[in-house]
Amino acid sequence: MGSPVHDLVVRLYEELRIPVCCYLVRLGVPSPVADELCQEAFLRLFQTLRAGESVANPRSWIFTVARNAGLNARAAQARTGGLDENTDWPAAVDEDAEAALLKDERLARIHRIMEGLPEEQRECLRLRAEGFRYRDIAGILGVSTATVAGVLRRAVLRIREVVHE
Amino acid sequence: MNRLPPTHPPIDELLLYLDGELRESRLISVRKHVEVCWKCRREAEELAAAASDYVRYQTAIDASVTPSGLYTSAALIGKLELLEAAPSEASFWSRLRPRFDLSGFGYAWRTIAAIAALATAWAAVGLVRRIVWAPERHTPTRLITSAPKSPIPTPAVSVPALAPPLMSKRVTGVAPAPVPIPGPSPEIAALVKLHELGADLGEAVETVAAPGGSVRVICRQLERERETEIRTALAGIPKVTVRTEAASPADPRTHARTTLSLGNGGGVLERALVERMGGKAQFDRLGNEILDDDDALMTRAYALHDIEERFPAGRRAALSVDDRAALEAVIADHQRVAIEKGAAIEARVAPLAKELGVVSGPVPPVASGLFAAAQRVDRILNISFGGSPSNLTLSQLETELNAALAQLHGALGALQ
Repeated sequence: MGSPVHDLVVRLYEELRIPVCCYLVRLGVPSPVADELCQEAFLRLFQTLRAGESVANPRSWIFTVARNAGLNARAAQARTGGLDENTDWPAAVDEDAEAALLKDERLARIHRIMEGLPEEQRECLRLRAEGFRYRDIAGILGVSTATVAGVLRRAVLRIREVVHE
Repeated sequence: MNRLPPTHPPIDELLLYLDGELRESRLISVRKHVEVCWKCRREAEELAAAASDYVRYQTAIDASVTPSGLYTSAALIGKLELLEAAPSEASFWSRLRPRFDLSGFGYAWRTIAAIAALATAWAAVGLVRRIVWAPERHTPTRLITSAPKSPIPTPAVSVPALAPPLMSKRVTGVAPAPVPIPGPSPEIAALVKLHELGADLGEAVETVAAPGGSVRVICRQLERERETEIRTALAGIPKVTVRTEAASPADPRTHARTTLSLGNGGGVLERALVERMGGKAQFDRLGNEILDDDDALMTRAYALHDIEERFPAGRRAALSVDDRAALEAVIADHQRVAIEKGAAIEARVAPLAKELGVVSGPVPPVASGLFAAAQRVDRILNISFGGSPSNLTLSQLETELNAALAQLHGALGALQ
């Protein structure tokens, strides 16, 4: 058993590792890179807390830092271009499993709605489903809470309309 | 009987209500409407079902994400132990470093440009000016924590081709400046931190001072996210441990509203006010505003009452100078809000009392203090505007309203 900060970070990691990795994978980051960026975010959190700095909401802090790292990785790759052919990356998403679950008509309808949404709106929904409050989502995405409210309203109404049609 | 506001709340408000995001001034009205309106209740249920469908979808697609299995908790623990064994970073450098994060290309250039501009200005001002500048003017006050370039050695990973960025916006996560822990006392440090988090405003969080100067902070049935927030805030304070316990049925806050009822029956004052105010819509709107202020006043009154019980005069006198100053700052903050909310209640209710023709008579002597006054005002306002039962006559209610406001006025005056 380590210091309180150590224990806190480990507990948070166990709770958030999968959601953060899934979030990064859905941003387009390969699974191993997502895992690495996720762990790096938690190591930074540890250092920040250990230095006596204040982190008001560690969950949104982790998502913000991980998201920025994911966007950086994606942007860096866009600059250098092309797949690293020396690395045999496993598929981030099991497409067969995804196809199987989309046989459920309701889920397939929602999937089609999601595919038609801009990335920012998809992220908004995902973060809300992770339990974040509007102000947290606004902080993570760098938008206003009014934008978050508007995006969620439109998305929920669209889901209601399509799923229950 | 429940009051039904005349108009259905718009769908935006229903979703905000379901998400717990509706502002307080509308919350009571919308909640009461949804309770009694079949149409709006069905609308709310459909919105909740749509949100639930989305969560089911997200859970399902996340199950198809292939975990890499490269990084486990054990791997993290290993790295944390290495970091713990290493000396902690200098605080100044740890604050400054993320500002020079070069991992984001655009940001890096903006940073370099800012540094160049500062250097030019610095040279122009000259050496003399530099000498006379107070050192604290150069202290960074905010920490940028976004996507830092990690100092942690990690396996070299090359990034494969990814989807082109659809959203180039890069968010700067800004953590608030660290608040220095006042004085050496863990109990006061914990109290200040909890106050900063607003965890001393009616949440089931109890602080227990144990022998030897250690402190236990007990959280009872808080949401996990909230408890984590509290644990994180207190993690840096020595001798403070946080525990989770089952809810205590003896928590006075949970019973405050139900034990303060004057009796059964009621509604006479409401009917009189509705008649004089020109309709229920106006009554509801004003009533909601008054009850919001009353809630805020009561939470502050309870917080001050708790502090008085934990730190009676004798104990407060024995505190160190730092501790006493920190405690007084917390008290002053609660008092400031209490005065503000009490004044707002007075300003809203006084014209109504005048409208009803309440004659200000002599107010009988009552127990002094904000807590007693706030409780009395809370009781009469809930009878008048919140539908709490009462068997007092209109005249008795008017007299009680007048007396309660006078008592509150006196208690707030004593604080000032």
